[in-house]
Amino acid sequence: MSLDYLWQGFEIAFRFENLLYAVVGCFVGTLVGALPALGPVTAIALLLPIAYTSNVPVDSTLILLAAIYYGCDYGGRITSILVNVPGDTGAVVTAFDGYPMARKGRAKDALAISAITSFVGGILAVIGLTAFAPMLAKLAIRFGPAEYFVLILFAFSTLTSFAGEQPVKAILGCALGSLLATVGLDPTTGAYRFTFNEPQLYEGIDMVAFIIGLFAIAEILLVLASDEKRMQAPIAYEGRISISADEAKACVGPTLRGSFIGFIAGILPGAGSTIASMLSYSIEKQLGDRNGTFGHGDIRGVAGPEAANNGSAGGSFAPMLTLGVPGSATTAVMLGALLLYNVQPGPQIFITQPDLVGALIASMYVGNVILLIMNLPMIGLFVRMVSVPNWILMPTILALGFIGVYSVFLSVLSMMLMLAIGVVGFILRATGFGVAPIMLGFVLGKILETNLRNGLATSNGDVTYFFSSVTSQILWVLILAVLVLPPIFKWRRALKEATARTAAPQPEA
Amino acid sequence: MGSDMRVDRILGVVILMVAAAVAIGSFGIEYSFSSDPLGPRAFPLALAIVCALCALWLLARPSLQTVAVSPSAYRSFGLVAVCVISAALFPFAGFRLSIFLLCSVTSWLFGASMFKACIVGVLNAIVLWLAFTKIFGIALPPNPLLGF
Repeated sequence: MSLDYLWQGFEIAFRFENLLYAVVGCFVGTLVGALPALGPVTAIALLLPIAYTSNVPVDSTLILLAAIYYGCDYGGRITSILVNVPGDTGAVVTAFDGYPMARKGRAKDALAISAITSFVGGILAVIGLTAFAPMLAKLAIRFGPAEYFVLILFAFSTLTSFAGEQPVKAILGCALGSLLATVGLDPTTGAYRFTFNEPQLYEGIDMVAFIIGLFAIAEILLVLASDEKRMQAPIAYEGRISISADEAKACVGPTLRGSFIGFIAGILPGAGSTIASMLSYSIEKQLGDRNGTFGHGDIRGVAGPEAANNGSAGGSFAPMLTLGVPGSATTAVMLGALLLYNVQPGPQIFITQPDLVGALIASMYVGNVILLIMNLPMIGLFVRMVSVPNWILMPTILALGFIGVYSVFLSVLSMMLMLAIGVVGFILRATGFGVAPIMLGFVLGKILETNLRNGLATSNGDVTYFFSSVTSQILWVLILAVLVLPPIFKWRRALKEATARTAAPQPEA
Repeated sequence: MGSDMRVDRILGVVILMVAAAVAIGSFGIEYSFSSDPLGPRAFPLALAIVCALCALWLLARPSLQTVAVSPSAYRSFGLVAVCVISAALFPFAGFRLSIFLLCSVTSWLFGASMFKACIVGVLNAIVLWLAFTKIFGIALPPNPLLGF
């Protein structure tokens, strides 16, 4: 595969208005990343309908939204390091060593190293995306209904397996999301499903209302309902950057490993930045924590996870673009953006839309450079903006959500639908549901059903069709591995701990 | 409702009811001919079964989280109410008036004083109106009584 598409893309990405969109996206991304109450999906969900209705061309919209997405991973670390509150979910781990560093008066060093490793992780992931995406597209061009069906089952399985304490809630989230996606006209038979004779539901629950409800509205309700603790003042960051050559050298390994882990976790559906940074941190701790410095301001504990968290953003574009199967909530919204503009992602996208993909990937090289520049000298600006109180921030976010939904549909019913989804989303999130399963269920459920039924139609109802190709067999094995291995590991660890306890009885026993 | 009521038990019951409704609803989907052996009913029905099984699991093994409505949780009800009212008023009261209502009440719920909340409402109404109608070229409903 030649890289012609990329050179063409650079031409588009370097156009003045696209550079401007990239700068705006990077700025908004860093800002919402740094604000704990706001995540990338909310920001993207709010800006998508506005860009769409004000006739911003599709390549510029994508450049803007993508910049917000990967820019967010630069912003999250700021609050993690200075306030010990992660600005977004991917930056949870950065606080483990970043905050202790700041407490020791090394805030500037922590911010600098995390900006640089973010950049390395981001750029390496884009290079990986450039090389890997066309390969994945080539592989996927032979995918039929069977492969897609199993692939989506695999996505749901990884999502469940990484879900944490209550995997059952991840399964439920996927199922509920998929159920909401069945509302509307069934394309194969023309039957109306769950529309309650309401014409506006004939085309299904609209993506824009769904996203703004699930993210923006639910988010605001959550912030309001949680007894908001006053965020403590950020630690002052004074002095000069003083990272010794030895420290810089020590960071090289963690950064490169972190970038790789991040990229792989990004490609893997359902994994994403939180898992990437956690994995990177625990690996670095096992490899390098000889003097027990991790958790007490070890610079390597900042470098690795930050590279991983940015690497995953780049990696996650690959399955979304080339398979049309997003692996995270954010890329699911990006997919929604493409569909809104009538662009169908999939293995053909490098043939049908080479300029668009090229421009998007090229803009990610440009964007990461912009972000590095923004995040080194201009860091003070973002730090000041982090302390904007909620009573100023929240009303505007809410208003933007209303405008977004209204401007696309011009109907009060869509706004009510958005509010209803927001309330349900709020209840689910307050009771321990993750938002990613619901969102991915909503997006992937449709594709899952279509491919299941198309597959059965071509095979005349023969179920073995879904096991017939090598690709689908490999995917079935992966599903088994993802579902079976983690519980076994957990069980073995529990067993080991139990035997250790009986071998060496506790003093009080 | 006792304070020791497990959240997952309530969730389980609600989801069981939803699953039952979906199952009944899927049998009611009408279609004349299907080119695939499953038809439009099977997938939602299967999802309803998955939901029901998960709900039973929640009932059997609920997490420790219990129902606790903190005083601040009541503010969420207020926020939902003002959202619904502002959305309903949108085409009648016009964009600026409903956004003023929405933003000032939200700001107040988030702890601003009455005065500050009103300023937030006015600023949002004016700035967003100008930004969207003049810069982005998005048509937003004016106030029909005032005519602008």
